Amino acid sequence: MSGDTDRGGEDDATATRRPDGGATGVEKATGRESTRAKPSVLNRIRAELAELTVFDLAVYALYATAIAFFVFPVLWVASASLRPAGELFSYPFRLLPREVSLSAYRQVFQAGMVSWLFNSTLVTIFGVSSIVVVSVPAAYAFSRFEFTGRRGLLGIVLLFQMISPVIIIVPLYTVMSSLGLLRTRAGLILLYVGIQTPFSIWLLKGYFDTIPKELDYAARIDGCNRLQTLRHVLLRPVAPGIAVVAIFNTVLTWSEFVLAFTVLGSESRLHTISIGVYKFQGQYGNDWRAIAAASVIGMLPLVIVFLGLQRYFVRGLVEGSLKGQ
Amino acid sequence: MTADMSDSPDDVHLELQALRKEYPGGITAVEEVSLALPRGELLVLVGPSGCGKSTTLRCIAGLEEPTDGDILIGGESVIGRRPEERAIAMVFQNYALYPHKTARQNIGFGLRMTTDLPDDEVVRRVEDVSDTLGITDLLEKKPGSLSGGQQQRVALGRAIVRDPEVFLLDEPLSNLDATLRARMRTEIQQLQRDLDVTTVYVTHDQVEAMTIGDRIAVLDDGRVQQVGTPMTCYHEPANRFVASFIGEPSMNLLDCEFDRVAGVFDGPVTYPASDELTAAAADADGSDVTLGFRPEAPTLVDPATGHGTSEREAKSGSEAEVGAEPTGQGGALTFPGRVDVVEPVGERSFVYVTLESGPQLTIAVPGGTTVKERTAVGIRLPWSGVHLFDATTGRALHHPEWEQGEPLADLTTGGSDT
Amino acid sequence: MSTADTTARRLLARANDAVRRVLDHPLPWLALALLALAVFQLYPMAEAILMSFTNESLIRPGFEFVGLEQYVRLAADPQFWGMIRVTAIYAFFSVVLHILLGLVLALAIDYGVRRGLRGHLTTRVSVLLAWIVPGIIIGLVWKVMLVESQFGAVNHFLGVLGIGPVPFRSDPTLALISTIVAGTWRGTAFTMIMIYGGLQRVPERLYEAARVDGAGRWDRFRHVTLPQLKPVLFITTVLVTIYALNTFDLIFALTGGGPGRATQVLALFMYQEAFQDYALGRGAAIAVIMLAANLLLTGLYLYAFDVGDEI
Repeated sequence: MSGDTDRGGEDDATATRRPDGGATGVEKATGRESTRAKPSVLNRIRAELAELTVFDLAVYALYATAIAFFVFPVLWVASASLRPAGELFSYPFRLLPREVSLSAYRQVFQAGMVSWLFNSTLVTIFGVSSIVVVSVPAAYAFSRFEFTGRRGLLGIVLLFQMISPVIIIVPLYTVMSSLGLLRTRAGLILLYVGIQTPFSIWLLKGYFDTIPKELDYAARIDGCNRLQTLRHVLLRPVAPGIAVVAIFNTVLTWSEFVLAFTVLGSESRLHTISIGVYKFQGQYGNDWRAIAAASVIGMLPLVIVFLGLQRYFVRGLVEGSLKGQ
Repeated sequence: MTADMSDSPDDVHLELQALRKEYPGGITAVEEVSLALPRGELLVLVGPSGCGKSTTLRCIAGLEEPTDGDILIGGESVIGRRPEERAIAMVFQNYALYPHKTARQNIGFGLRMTTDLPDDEVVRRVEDVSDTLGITDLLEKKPGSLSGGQQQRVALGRAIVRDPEVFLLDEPLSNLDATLRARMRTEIQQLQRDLDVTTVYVTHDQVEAMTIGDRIAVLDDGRVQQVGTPMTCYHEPANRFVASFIGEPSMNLLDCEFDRVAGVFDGPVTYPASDELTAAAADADGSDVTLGFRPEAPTLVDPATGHGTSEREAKSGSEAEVGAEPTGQGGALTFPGRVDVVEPVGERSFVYVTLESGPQLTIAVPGGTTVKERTAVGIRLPWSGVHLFDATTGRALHHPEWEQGEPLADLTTGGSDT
Repeated sequence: MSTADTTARRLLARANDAVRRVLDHPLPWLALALLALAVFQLYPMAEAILMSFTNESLIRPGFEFVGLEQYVRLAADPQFWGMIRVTAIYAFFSVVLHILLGLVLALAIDYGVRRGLRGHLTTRVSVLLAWIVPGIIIGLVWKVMLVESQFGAVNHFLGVLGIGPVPFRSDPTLALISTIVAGTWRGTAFTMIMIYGGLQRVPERLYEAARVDGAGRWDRFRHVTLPQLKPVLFITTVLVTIYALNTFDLIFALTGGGPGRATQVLALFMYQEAFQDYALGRGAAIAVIMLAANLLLTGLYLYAFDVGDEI
């Protein structure tokens, strides 16, 4: 399966030339697809079909199944959200609603969706920025400094990452309470910094490690202190790593429920989307359309942002691991 | 540059005094290194991996602080000063070019960071340097789209534009392929001469060291084994290590015991000692000595007739040597062996001969010589090719005479320059 | 240059030096991160451990140290063991499914990229799509999809195949299965991405050498791909195990722990004890047990995978 580079009779435009020791298959893929879009599409498709092995067909089947499995619920929810009141469960079952209605959405907005969106956006933007601001210098330190106990400290940091916040939710509550951070968005943001930095530091350190130390030396000789070195020399090469960390944390923060619920759950004007949707469900019980609508809006911003950025996300992840050795 | 320079010339520009670098954990990378360079000299630090040459270079640069000793540039100690305050510039093995900056930005970065020069001045200098190096049309490109040789030049440019007092190069050519390496070597040499900047050049390749350096410093185990011109180190290696390190293929070394009574060296072969050699052997701590001779020293002879297969014999004074075969005690200057492999290199061939007693020797013969593998040969080693080393300490005891050679006539003035 | 200028310059240089000296020490770089960790992870963890030895409760003020009483009571409680069972089953199958699916998908996508097949990008995006949906929403969405009459989406399709309406959420076993499937639906993206990254890291040369040695597809997979993937698989398995062990939001939304206690994982139990029954001490004890389980499994994995310094 992997590593099979049978080309058959395909011409250069479709051959995947792999640079030594790795591939930028992602980019090659998109590049190739655009070349295919040009002359005699039909002929090409015909040629392709002729070349398919049984294995290829199996893989295609897998793709189809995967796509169906992963996308269906999302589609269905979207469809459910667009139905007029009482229409959800019709018989026979329909994927597409007979008539489209936005009444569910109206309901959701009346229940406070705007405020939820606002809170989620606020917390996510500030949360992610704070995490990045805290993680980058720490990752730099772990990568560029040699000090006694470095490995130990790194191990401890990693250990914290292994611990889900759910476990410490109880004492966390008391800590937040005594610090006066309960029922504040700032408190939640600080909490996210504490909880999500280990993973971010670990990830970023990996990216820093791929940059040869000679670059630091050259910068030193060129007159930079460490901060200047970071800013002028290291930041750009590490940028894909920062992008990955930012995206990762955006997804995690936006979707986060437990901590948000613990900190902000009792203050309805501060509810984030996760809390809002949950409480909404509690209120509206079996009004599935409304819940569907809330769900759609809950995931929509993230989906849009992520779909736009997912290529950089994957590329950043792949590049990071590529340079690793 | 004239031939032999003393170890402490008058106009010392860069000096290392008893430099020592220890790392926590007990590793001593540099035990004791002392060097003195006059202004404008290109000194090569050469030695096997781990000998401390790179560490020494980094101490000069200010990237590491020595545990002990002093470093002086222009008579002033620079210990404790940051790299950019030492007026040095460095070229790294992997060039260490900033990947996201253009060549222009790479070259100008140091200038902008350490000086207050106005923008247009920086631009002017960058373009001047690019012109010198022939990379003006590459200025807008990023390192990723440049070839190894081009990156090399940008790295040089970055270093030169700072107008440094001392120029440091850390194995700059190791990442290039052979042809490019040879060409860049010449270019760097030319550049250094033109700029007349004191340069320390680190390499593990002794051929590179020999060709590029005004002087070379051979390091091993954190110590300087010898400092001298390439020719001096070649013809008068200070110890066994230098003898075997410098020269390609390396010097043949045979461990023997000097038999004072019989006047011979007893080892894998029995080799008669001349008066000179006898006197030198007396200097050793004990009777264990090492005979050394370069591949081009001996000639191959037909074991039966004793007639040589080498042209050299026919030329200069070898007839006299043949005639000077010792009489009486001990063996002749010829000993037998069996040819294993013949490696034709072009104008020479290297013949690997195994002695009856075991060791394998490398002999250089002119390219046209017909020597067959697996045949028996005689190796005639004249006294004029024999070095002697103390086997216990490794110290050199005796070197054969060598001539510097007449410099070519100066074609413009019509006279010679001696 | 006036004296004012020189003094200014000297001060500036001094300040510059001081800044440099500070920056040359790792502490200022790590300070913020370490502080955040100390306040929000280290201290609460210590507190949790301490609390587990008390009978602290929000119902009545004051508390006293009771030693291991909380743990003893838990050990004696059969319901507790039932929940351990549920958690273990959930975690085990989740991990297995996550890894298998992630592996298969990563391989398939990688294959598609190399072979120039279509649709690998769409597949990848689809999988990632599932990951970014907030957990709580996933729980709700699946709740709706698994509605137990013929009106439910899934039941409808099953009905087409002739299978009667399945009680996904009211049957204990099926409920557990539903949570596992929903969790896998979301989490596979993570494993897929991690493994995909690892696949890119495998040097092409190794495959070429294997082919020259006569290795077929399966052999290449077994002898080249898998060993090279070991570090990635290790990390991924550890992370997925922890994620599975500590799953809360998804199950909370999908079944709330029910029916009965069929899907009551430890995380839910702990939460309820602490926040619904206000038995903080007991909740803390459960938390400590979960923590210990996490650490134990991590250690086990370290041993099994024999990765050590490769991370």
